Amino acid sequence: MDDSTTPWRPQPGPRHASPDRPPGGTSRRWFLAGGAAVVLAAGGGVGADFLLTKRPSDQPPPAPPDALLAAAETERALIADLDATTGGAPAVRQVISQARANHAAHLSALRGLLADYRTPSPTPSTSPTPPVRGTPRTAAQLRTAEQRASATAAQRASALEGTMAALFASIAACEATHAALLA
Amino acid sequence: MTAPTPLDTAWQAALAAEHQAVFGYSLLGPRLNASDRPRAVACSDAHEALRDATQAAIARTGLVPVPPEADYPALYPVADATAARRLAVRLEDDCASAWRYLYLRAASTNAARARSQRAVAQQGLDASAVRAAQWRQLISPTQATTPFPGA
Repeated sequence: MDDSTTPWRPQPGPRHASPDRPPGGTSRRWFLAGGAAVVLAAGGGVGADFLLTKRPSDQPPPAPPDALLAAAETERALIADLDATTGGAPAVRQVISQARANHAAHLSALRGLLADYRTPSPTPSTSPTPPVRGTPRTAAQLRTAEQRASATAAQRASALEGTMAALFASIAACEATHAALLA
Repeated sequence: MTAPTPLDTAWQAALAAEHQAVFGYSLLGPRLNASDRPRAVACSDAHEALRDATQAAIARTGLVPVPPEADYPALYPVADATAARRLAVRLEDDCASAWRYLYLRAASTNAARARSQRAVAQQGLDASAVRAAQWRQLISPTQATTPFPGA
């Protein structure tokens, strides 16, 4: 029977930005991973100025929150290990493929936020991040790594504010799904 | 009487999503194949427990918890087992969105209970994201996950 009229919200592939709506509520602004309406937290990552404030153009950008830098590093390491893991049963390969895409989406979102902070390099646009060498993992090891990453992202979220905190909360949930599917 | 805060509204919305999930699983359960029913029962039990806990927590603050709706016409029809699985995904996605929204509101205020609400919201978001992924894996194994659950 055709069930095409059944309400359904497919969620294929990574998304870098999306509207943020309460159930039945009105639309709100959400972060745009590459660009303009990015939330700016103070250097420590907390404070009341996270609500869509724009930094005056004559002021230097603040240093990025440590949590943001660490989260990007975590995502790079996870991606490297997933890339290095070439074996596994077909069912595991399916999860690895999705996890790889999701972590890339996380990293893209985090880089979008980092773009509004001061970078350590004087010429960041010409100094790409060096590749991380990954290690082949078993499915059980990947599961443990995803569980650990989820817990860490949730912990980082709890120390952040506003939309950046919510982004980290979603990343934590995503990594929890990877761990569950690798079980 | 003071107007509800955005945090209160988000909390009630999370409860409303859990009400809908409990109703929705009772609606879809009979349409599932037998092999899916234990999963649906476990999901339904989890939502009932979270609904009850959320209801009680809201009442303890002096607020009146939102009641369930008499019916949820938007969840119909559930024509067959495939539609039932898809409805399960939708219910979980709606709950994930509601808990994530509560997380956002709690992370945007200095209200006294915001800290504990973040923890509750993270748990609700994680749980529904995992259940949604597990249902999606039965429908489309190569598209079981999403990078930003609840967003």
